[in-house]
Amino acid sequence: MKRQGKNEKLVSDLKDGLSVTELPENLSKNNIISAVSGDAQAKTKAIPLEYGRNNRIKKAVAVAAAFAVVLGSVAVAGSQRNKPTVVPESVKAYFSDTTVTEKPESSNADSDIIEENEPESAEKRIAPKKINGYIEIENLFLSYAERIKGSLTRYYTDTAVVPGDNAEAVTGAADDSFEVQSPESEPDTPNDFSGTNIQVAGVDEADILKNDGNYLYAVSTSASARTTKIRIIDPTPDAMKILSEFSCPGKSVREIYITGDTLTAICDNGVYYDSLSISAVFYDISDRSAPVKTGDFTQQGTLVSTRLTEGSLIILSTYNGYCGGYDEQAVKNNCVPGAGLNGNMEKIPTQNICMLPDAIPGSYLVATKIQLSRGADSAKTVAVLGGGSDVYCTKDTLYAVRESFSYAVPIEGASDMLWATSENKTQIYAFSISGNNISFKSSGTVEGTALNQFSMDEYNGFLRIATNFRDRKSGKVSNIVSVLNSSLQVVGKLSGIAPGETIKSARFSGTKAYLVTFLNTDPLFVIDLNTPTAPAILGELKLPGFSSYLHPISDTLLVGIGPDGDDSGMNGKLKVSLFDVSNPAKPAEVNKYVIDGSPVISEAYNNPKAFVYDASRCMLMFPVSQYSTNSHNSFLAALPVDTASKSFGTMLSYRQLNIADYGNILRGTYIGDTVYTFSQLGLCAFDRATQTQLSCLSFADVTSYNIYPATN
Amino acid sequence: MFSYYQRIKKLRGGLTTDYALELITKSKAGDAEAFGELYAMYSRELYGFALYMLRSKEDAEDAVQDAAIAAFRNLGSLKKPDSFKPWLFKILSNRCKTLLTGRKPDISSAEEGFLESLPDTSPGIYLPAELCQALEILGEEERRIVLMAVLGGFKSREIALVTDCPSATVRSKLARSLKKMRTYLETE
Repeated sequence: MKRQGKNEKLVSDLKDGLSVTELPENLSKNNIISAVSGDAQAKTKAIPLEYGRNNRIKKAVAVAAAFAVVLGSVAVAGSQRNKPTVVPESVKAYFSDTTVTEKPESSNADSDIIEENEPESAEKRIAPKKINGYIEIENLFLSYAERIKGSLTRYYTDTAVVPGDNAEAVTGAADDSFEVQSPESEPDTPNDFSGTNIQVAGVDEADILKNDGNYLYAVSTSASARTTKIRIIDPTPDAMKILSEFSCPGKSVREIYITGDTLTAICDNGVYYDSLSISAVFYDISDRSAPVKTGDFTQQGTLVSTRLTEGSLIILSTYNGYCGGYDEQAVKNNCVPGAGLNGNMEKIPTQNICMLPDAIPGSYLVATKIQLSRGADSAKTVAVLGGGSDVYCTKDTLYAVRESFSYAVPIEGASDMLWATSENKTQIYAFSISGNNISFKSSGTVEGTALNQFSMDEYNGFLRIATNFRDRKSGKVSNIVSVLNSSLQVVGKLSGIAPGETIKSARFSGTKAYLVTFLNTDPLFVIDLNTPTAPAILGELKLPGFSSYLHPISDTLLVGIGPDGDDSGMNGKLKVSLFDVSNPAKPAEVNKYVIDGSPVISEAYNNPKAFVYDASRCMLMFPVSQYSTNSHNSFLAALPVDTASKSFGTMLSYRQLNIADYGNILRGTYIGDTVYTFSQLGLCAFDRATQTQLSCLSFADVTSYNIYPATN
Repeated sequence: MFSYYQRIKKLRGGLTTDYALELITKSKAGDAEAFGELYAMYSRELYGFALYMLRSKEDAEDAVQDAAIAAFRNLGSLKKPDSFKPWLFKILSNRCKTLLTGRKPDISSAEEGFLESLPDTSPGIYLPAELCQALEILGEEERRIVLMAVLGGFKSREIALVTDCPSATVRSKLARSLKKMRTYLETE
């Protein structure tokens, strides 16, 4: 450790000395852009160009032999595009040396990680296991360390989380100073505004832009200070004003929640790159111009997701318990995740930790529930050995999925950065979050890999999950919809859907599932889930392009947004489709709207939070960005849907003026007749009908992006 | 396999910001502007790495330019966007290796003392002379690892990916190299 201290001095001197502050002209951004886009004048070497399918620029550049080896291996990997790959835990390990104070295990007797009233006998179900003391976990990790000895090491600096790294005073964390009102109950809040596009009614999801009808709340990254800032904005259309702006010292804000007069910031501790723990920081914003921090809660691990339901915040992280190396003390120090208030993390009590028999020492899924009305100290944290990647949450149950793997093996012939699982399976964990508690409920396994949170849905006590399955022996790809009961046993399964294609979007709606897969064309499948034990395909519609997000707007109408295409694949256009599913056997695309011109990309393709459906006006809103070498064009599109005639109306567009680079619109929102566009550079207000820009608020310190942490 | 959306979630707290991911996605679709932005995020580190590896400004410029073009061209084959930075460095590192092995012996000797002259001849470079000398005493592989760790901010496991040697080896080499430099500086 002492030697590391010396190294740190050298490393920091080197860091300062080695950094290059000026680039040669040849290597300027513009020159590189010219070089890669084939503007040969700026480049000394001639690069023959050809434009291939999908506008992908293909170049033939002579590369030296050794160079080609790398690219060759990467290309192999690229051709295995659809192969599910995971990085083995051993490679994933980020090394933490955080010292977590050990809490006497007896001090937390109210734990109930395993619900005692576990239901029906489950033959193949994996029963969670109670843990008898930290020693059991330590031994598991130590034996693991022994096994992989030599393949992992610790790095020379310690990227430890510094607990309590907050300069500001924390007030009232331990009392009941939280005054939470749900937005609906606020008396003078107009109802005509858009909230975040959430999956399950009543279960809020965090975002970088929040709108409570009275104020806008925005999170942006400041390049100069390399910090993230939260801004509270008075959205008066012709006179928008920043009421307050603040950052969480030592943390980077990911996303926020607004509940009445409480702002909850979900943060990485330190900079994202080295963040080994996440925090929820609570602010009292009853005075919007002077937010007061009221407390914070920290748990180890990297953020999986958060939800806010029934006045409670749910935080999920994955914590890598294996610190690398085989130093016994280091393994012991790190093998149990910590959590606690105001940066004072304590090991999660063993009663709240669950180990599944097939668990591989490595990632934990750490879940916390905090009742906002009772403040951060109402936090209850549980952990399950086994990480998570996506979350689906109802008011009562939280489901987390992760790809499960046996021991990972490198794909033969592929780059060493790629690893494959031996079996393509997804592990599902269910946590009960009803009442004041959070507890581990059950776990189960399905074949295949889930695309995202929309691949999961709970209805009438059954969990339905759509997965893409790759048979590792034959390499064949197909899709599966599985139905699981409350103890996560598979009770019904429809497999072999769209062989050779992968799921691009999924949406469940009551007894139906809508599934879009893609190879060259876009089949929309309507799947009947009326009988949980016998899911069946009702109908199918083949179209060019694919919808990457599906949004039901009525029982019979479905909107899809995604890249348009022709028979040979995607064509760089954006397509919004209106599907009529009133006859499930014959789904039909009754109307479509195509945005043409330069290659189009929308933030909404892959991030549903960028999609807004205004039900009262039957209006879709989504950001559009168009690119060409010389121009960059970003606007918020608003597309009316006439549900009677089943067609789209005339598209309105809200275009940010005076916002040059980086001005990609990330979100759109509205309050009454004012439409707002949000980009990292600022916020603009528009008149809904005339599409005129009324005012613009520029976040002056955001000049460019720098993803590097500040060196200190 | 994973959607962009899912990747963001997977990678948050990992290596790549949402913005960088967006740029990677666009670059993959052939957007040169987006790639330019992406490149600009790493350009100084890339150039610094090449410069101190190759000890020639001309070669460093060529190596970075070649690496950038190759990266853009092959971005479609990058499976995991969070590996973008190590991937980019791997391309550059290999390019440097090729240039170094292809060098005639007299050229490399002609570059002797190059690093020390850098601060005087190049704007934007302020490497103190004694650190230059300390870097000079390192072997090629050692310097590569030190530069990756210090300049690129990579962890040993990432350096392992770039240099194709086990992270245990990386770690011990790094420790040894730093010790070597420190010893040099202390006895200086």
